[in-house]
Amino acid sequence: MNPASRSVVPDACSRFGRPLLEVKGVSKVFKVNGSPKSILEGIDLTAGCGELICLLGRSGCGKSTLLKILAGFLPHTSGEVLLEGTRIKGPGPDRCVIFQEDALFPWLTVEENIALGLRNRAVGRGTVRREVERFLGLVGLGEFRDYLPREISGGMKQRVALARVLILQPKILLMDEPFGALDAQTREDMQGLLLQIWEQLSHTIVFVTHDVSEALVLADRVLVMGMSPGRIEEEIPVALERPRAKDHPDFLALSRRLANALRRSRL
Amino acid sequence: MRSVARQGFLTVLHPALPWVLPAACLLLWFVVCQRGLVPPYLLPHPRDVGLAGLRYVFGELGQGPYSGRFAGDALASLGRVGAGFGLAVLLGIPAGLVSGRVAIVERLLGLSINGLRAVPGISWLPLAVIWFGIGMKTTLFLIALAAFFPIYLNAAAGASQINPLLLQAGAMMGFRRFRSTFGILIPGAMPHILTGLRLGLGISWAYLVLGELSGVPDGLGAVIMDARMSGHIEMILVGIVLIAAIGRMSDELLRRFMRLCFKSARRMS
Repeated sequence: MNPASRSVVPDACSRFGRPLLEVKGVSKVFKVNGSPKSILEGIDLTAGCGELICLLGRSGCGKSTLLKILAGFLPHTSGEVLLEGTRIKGPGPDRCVIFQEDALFPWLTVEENIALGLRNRAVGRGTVRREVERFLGLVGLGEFRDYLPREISGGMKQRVALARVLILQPKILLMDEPFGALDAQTREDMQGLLLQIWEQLSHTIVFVTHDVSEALVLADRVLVMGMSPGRIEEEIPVALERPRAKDHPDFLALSRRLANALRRSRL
Repeated sequence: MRSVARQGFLTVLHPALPWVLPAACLLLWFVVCQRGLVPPYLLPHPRDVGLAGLRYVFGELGQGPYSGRFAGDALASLGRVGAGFGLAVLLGIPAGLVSGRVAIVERLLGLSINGLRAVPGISWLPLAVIWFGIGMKTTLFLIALAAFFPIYLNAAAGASQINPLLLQAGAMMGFRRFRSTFGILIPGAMPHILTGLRLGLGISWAYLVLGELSGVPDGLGAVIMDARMSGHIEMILVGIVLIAAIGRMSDELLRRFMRLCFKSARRMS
């Protein structure tokens, strides 16, 4: 399904003619042992409204750093990051992050974790309860509402992480290898869940991964990153029907193409 | 069969386990005194200590030198511990949390606090007596000073070891400083904070006795000192046992209070 044909279009999209996210010539230089080391160089990318793009790269290519810059956790050295044409300034609820590791609040139950972000806003109790209910249902955790994070599995934790940011209605979801620590089966389930939610809610998603097949299952567009310094090497649109079968010849062909691009990216 | 029997024995013994050592000590004490192995002016018979304790706690005022004084003494001591410990909490937790998060504050405070910490609390006593005289102020000063360090250090450790992802997650949810401090930093550091509070309260009782030894009219430490002067060794022992009991109870109350007040204390420790 192509993003424009999906039924629900977030308000942000209809108001806005330009791409939702624009990254222009962003670079990042870290000091390593006193000498500057270029981590990211001349990154240009855009994400249209409701688009799901994957940043594919080997470990160490700077893809997580790029995501942290988009989230506002790290300042960039030069270039600019625009969200709806406005420069981003520090972290904020319009750009929500799903981390690779467990970042749930260990002293809050599943339900309280999901409600926390809304409680911070001037929203009535009834609304909070209704919204929490809706997102608990969406990620299928209704029965586990009273569990603490340490009492649920890794896959369930990432479901909670998804629900607690979706409830904030962010303009863009930034996902940093969110399923990297899960077993293969759970990872597939989570990919399915993410696509299902994405088709319902039409979020714009930037998804970081090192896994070719994950990128191909999910993305509208894959950006292959090279390293030292991190840069965008190649942009490959994925025009396959969803749900995508991993044994389809087109899938396999693209998969080979991406694998080759990754191999080349080493240099 | 044998292992089942053993299991049964352990289940019966388990609740009694903490009392095995005290009971053994009591028994040894009893035997030693009963046989007259140690003269009573060094170690009085447990029966005499028990009776002195009963008179002290339940007797009527004026019947004997210590009769019925317990309630007043305990109240006076609790007041001093409460005030001194409270002061240490009020200073130690905010200072600890800030220096655990802000490198420049840690750099500013670290040397001084660790330097002061190296001074044994007892060496402050002469100075405190000169500054504050004998009584409440000196005791309060000593308790607050001694309890401050474990509270401060543990709060700082808790704040610096908090998972940075939790603070990032808060920032992403739009938490500002206040919300981030009370909603994330304090709950996240709670296990450490609680350890610091328990250590601090324990030390408060130790320094209570030190403060009261300097010669105040009432209080559990004062009774011990007074009993030494007047040769009532059984009252020294009564004082020691009572302070142990009250100290243990106050630790339990502190834990329950924290668990009652904070989700994080309930769910993370």
